[in-house]
Amino acid sequence: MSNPDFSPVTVIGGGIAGTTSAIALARHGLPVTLIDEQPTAGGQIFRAPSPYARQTVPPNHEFSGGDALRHKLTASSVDVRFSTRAWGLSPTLALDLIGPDGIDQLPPSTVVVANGATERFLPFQGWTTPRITGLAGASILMRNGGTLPGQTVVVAGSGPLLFSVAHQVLELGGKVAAIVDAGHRSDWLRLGAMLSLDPARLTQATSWMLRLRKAGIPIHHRAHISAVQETETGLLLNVSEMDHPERRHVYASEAAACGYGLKPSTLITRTAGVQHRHDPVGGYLEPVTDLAGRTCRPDLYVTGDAAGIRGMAVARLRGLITAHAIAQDRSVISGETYETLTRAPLRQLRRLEAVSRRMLPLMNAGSAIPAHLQDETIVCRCERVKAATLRSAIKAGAEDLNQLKAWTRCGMGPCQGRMCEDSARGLLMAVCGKTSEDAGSFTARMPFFPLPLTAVTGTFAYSDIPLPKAAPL
Amino acid sequence: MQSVTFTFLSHAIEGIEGEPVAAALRRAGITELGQSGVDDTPRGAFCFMGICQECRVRIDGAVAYACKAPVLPNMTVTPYVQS
Repeated sequence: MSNPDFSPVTVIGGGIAGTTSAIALARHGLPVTLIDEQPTAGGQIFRAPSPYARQTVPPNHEFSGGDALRHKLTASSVDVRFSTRAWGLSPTLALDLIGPDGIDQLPPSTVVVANGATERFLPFQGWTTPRITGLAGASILMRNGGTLPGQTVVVAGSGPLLFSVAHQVLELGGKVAAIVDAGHRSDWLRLGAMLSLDPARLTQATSWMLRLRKAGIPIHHRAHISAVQETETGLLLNVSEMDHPERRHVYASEAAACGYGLKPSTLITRTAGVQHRHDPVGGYLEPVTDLAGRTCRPDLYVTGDAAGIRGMAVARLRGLITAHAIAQDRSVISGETYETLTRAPLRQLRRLEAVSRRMLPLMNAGSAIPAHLQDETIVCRCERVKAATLRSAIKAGAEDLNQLKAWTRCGMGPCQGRMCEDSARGLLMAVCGKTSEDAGSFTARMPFFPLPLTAVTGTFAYSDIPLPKAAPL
Repeated sequence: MQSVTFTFLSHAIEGIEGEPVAAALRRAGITELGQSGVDDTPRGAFCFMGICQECRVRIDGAVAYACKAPVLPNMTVTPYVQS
């Protein structure tokens, strides 16, 4: 064994994968810094409830699991930097941060990217009204904020989050007007049959479904919200069935939550030049990694949902295995010790992977929606670019997402294309028959999110700025 | 759980100290946090995870995400005007 390498490791993202990884790395004696934008660890699933939510939301696994994880982190030697976001990454992996004390930079280190997932959104006419939120967003508002999006809510989109969010609405005393799912009912039944491999998920899914059925909530499969109108008291939502466009349903509600599954956040990994591939089942781009999260860069690892959506149980296992792999790559532990430490987690991982992969087509069930967007539908929320504008640009020869962006401003606003990328890509694929790979992605750029100029410049007085003496005329 | 008051435009809003501003506003029936800089139609918190940029407001003058920024007593929240 060569000499052990105890140089620093930086973990980006304090969710389940990142926090588990950071704690395990610290146990191997490595100096670890954990960065997260939230004021405490937990990520989205284990996000710490607000003081109000602690009082209003019934106790649940996410609160207790999150509290246990945060407790373990506090007891560890991990150096934590909360309320801090990474906004840039150099080719040598120096990280640009912005936190409570302003701008900072971490020198190059081994980086573990554990920045999880982002939600995939697909538009419909009228979806920019503030009464409509993302599906994950509604979950955060209820679980972290203890607050209903509205007294009555239509829950729409695809994937297991639909039923979780509907359940959360009931839990807070709200009413679910309808659940609108893009997926096939038969896909859910097939998933149900597989859940015996994952008893924890089976128990949870059964209790949700019983409660939703008891509440008599209408569930539409292979359906989507096609348009929404605002009324004085809320929303009127048109629901269309994908296989029977003539069948329409109308629901009234105070709010609606809509999201079409999750995809890995690839902004950081793409900036780092890591190889990516398109996962046709998940319908998203993911970094190419081995089981332990190694990438084509020896100084960069990806773990948890950032390496492909598999859910929270897999994220924890991946975080653990990545930490052991780093320890082995650094010669801190032997190959034998690595085998011993990872035997049980790898066995569990293989069992859960099968179930998690079964979820992917359900999350990606809305993939045909962009092809049928009505011309008047706003695709890019920031720049208010409509489907008709995109279609004519594509017909005029825009060949990939970046050209479409340059021609129409779609994706050029402050969200940097995160909200419209999937639907713009779907339109490109539908109008000119491109593959997802050919349609591409919006180029990853720094800063990763809008940065206040004051944060970059700091506070200063104009009189303190040294002015060179003017050259003689 | 400490109940406090803050201001949004001209409204006095009750909230719990430390909870997200967007949650307190929503319970007060306020979903519109500003207008689109392009077509002046209303915008509000959408993704709740710092991505969509639509819940940006000014809190005592400084730009902040309403979905994340904590409620503090007597703070003044105004829409962020996108130019």
